[in-house]
Amino acid sequence: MPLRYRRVTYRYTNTGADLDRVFRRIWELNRQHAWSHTTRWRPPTDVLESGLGLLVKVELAGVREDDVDITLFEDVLVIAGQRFEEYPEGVDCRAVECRYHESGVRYGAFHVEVYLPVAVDADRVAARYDKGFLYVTLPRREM
Amino acid sequence: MAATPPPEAPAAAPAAEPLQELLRGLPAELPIMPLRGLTVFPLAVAPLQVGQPRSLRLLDDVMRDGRVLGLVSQKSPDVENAGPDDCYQVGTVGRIVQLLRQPEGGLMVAVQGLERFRITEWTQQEPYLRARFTLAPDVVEQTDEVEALRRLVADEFQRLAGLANQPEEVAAAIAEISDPRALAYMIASSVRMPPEVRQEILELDSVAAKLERLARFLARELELLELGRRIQSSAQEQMTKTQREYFLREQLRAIRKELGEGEGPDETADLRTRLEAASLPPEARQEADRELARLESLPAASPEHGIIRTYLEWLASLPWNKVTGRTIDVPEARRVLDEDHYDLDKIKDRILEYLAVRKLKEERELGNPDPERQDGDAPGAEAAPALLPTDTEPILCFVGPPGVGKTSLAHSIARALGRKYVRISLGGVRDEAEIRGHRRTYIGAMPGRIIQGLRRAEAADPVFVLDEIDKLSIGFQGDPAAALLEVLDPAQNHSFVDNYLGVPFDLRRVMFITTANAMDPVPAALQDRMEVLHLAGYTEAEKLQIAIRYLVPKQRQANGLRDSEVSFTRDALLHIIRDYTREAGVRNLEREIANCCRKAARDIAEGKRQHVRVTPARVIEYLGRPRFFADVAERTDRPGVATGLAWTPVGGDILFIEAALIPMRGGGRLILTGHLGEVMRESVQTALSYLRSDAKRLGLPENAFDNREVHVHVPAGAIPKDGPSAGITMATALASVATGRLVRSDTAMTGEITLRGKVLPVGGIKEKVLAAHRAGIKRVILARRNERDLEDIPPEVRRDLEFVLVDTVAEVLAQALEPATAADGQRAASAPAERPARRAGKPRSAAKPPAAASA
Repeated sequence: MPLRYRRVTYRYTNTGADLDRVFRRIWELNRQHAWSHTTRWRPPTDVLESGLGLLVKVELAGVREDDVDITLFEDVLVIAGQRFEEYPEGVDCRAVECRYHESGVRYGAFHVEVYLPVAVDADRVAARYDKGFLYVTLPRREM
Repeated sequence: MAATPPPEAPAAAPAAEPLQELLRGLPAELPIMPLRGLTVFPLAVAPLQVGQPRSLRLLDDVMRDGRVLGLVSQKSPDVENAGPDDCYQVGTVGRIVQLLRQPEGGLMVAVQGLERFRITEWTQQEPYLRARFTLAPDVVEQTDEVEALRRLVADEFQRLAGLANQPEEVAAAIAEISDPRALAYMIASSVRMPPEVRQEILELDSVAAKLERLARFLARELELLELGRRIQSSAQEQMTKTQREYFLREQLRAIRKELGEGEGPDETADLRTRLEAASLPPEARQEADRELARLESLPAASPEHGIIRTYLEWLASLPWNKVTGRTIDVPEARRVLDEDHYDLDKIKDRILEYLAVRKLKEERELGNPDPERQDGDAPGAEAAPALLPTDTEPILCFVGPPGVGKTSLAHSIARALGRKYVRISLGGVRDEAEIRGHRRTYIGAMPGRIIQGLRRAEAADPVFVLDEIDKLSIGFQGDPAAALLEVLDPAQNHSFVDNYLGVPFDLRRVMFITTANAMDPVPAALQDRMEVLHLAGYTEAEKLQIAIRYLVPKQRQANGLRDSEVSFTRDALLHIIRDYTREAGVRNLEREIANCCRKAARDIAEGKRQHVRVTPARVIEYLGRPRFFADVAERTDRPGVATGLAWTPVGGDILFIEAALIPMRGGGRLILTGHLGEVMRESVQTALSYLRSDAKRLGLPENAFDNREVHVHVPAGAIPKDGPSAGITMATALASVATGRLVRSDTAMTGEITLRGKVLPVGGIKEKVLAAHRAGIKRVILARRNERDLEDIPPEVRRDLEFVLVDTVAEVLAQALEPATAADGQRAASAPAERPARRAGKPRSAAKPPAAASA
């Protein structure tokens, strides 16, 4: 993967405010989850409807296909699974004493429920995992 | 990858399994992080700000080692570096979800609770706490009780959220939760509560118990909030109301100011200056100050405000010390009196004497100021002189018929003295409050007429005329005459207290003059305080003079005529006096003169004449036929009619007594008609009885009254008559009808009769004699003891009349009856004799030689 490298200090566009915003965002996120009634996290999800049917796109990097369960209900599509904290070879620094400066990546059990606004053909539902995104296509049910 | 077909049963969340896996995979020992002022519940995500070095170290290690740690709350948040004893033993196993290191070195951590745990053994304290534990899952029962509790708590939370401003998403999120455990923890995390209660909820094992505890707590919170709300809203309301009122009042004041209406303080300031200027005596001053203070403290809208204002205005407008009278100048006074009134010498003399005495007293007094003469003070014990200044000055009372000039005399006295003149009429006054005023407490209260008069006069020393003092009557509201006693008593009236004013007013400097038509109705006590001056009627001659000097010029001017345009001859005036008026005063005379003047003015204005000379003929033309006739002669042309003299408030008058004998078997009845009063009736009876008893000596036929009814009548029938003075007249009429002898037509008489035939004196001689003179009578028979009353009669009248003074009825009859003739016997009950008619107004002298007159 190409990588650009600049030997200068990065000039923050919003000095200080950036950090602040980050803190606040975490805080707000945390507040939102303060009354979470579940220990599972929800990955960001897109749901598109077209003439052909529905497309559900889940940002779900770093999971094995085996760790994902997709279940289609009458009116809801449920995608659940686990993401484990893993580091590929050469990048893993955890063996050595290391400490986090920021930990924002969610690990552990996740759970997505997508309400289906249209009737879909259960037999023709397909799923594909590509470049960290999970795509689930749900064709419209022909009448 | 392939999608699994939908399972048969609706799934519970399949991801519950990873959690259980995780929990099972926990090590036996965990790092323990004490939380200060915070409790983390299972399922809840809590943000932590971590700064303590050892906690930082703990977190670094935890992040590397599975991100799971034990969270317990400190018993007291103040403790730093809490040890095992500072912490509760029950906490929550948690997982770090997010982390951010701050530039200063601290950590912001989001940690999610997973499950409860109980510490069994503390294993390490440095560098941070570690302990062994057992998991303590919550006991979840699916009972109705739990469901009910869940609903209850959810409800309460919703209400609380409504009151206590929770963010909306919270309330919405909670509404979705059906799991009682989740609900309990979620609510416990969101609602502010004391740490002990939180810990308590955490430590309760059963969800039902947790919910119950929550329910209680929420209920209490609700109550408190509710209460607080009520208090606050009521306080607000009150505040708002007060503010509103204040605001409105300020606006009102501003508006008033714009209109130019005085504000409260300005009004009273104005009153204050006026009261200062009025120079009130001390007592009045005190009262005024008191009332002013009250006025200032009252709002303008109060009804009392108006009452007090009116009162203070009265106080300010009275002439407490204003005097206008010049020093008395007696000659000047005489001149003024003469200028205004003709003759009345005796009266004028009396008035001038009165004034002279007053003048001397005032002058001499000014040399020795009397310590008692302080305004408004009651005489003190330290005062020595026995004679107070106006101690013995009586108050003048003018008595006389209407129109003689009583009131105008008082007016000219005022002019002579240079004083203000004020007059009140007491006619018909029945209510004592008219004199004394009403107390302030009554609606529409006003001071009495005395004070009102003084206000009108604007001086403390006016000539105050109390007109028609004989017309006071006693009503059920009190006796005004009695109230006047105080006013008119010089020893008392220096501190006259009007009920309305409430403070004494000095009436000493007021010169009171009263007038009346007759003194009889006036109570004796009141008469006592007054010096009565009689103004009897005017004689013809006097009226003529008055007409010439005063009435004609006045009416000329009043009707817009010049002196040269109208003139009256003497005869014309006499004609008017005799034939168009029958009065003691000159009112009607003035009216008739005015009548003539008006008609003359019309003639002149219409251009018919340049100059009008009023002669007797013209009088007839202007005024019509003469109205009054002297009808003496006609009436006494048959026996049984005698002429008597009567006194009326409007002057003297002649009256006729008629007697008739009616044959009746048995007889003896006495009929009296003519609206006679008791006394008069009795005098008729007395007369009759005397005549019968002494018939022989008097020369009456013995059987004159036998078998006869006696009827005595006094025309005119509508006018009430009373009094004893017609006694001898009655006797004469009866004797006349009994003997058949005529009564002399030129003779009138007046006197009271006794049963023994004596003649007693009577009153009102002057008026009666004047009336006789007016009517053309030549001889007047009087009781001897009335002789001194003849002095009052003007000489010109005395000259024209012959006065016969008698002691007994026998003498009366001798003087009054014509000598007996043969024809008398038949005439006793016969038709009237023929007598030639007279020309109106001129009495004819008797055809027969008159009887011997006695002086």
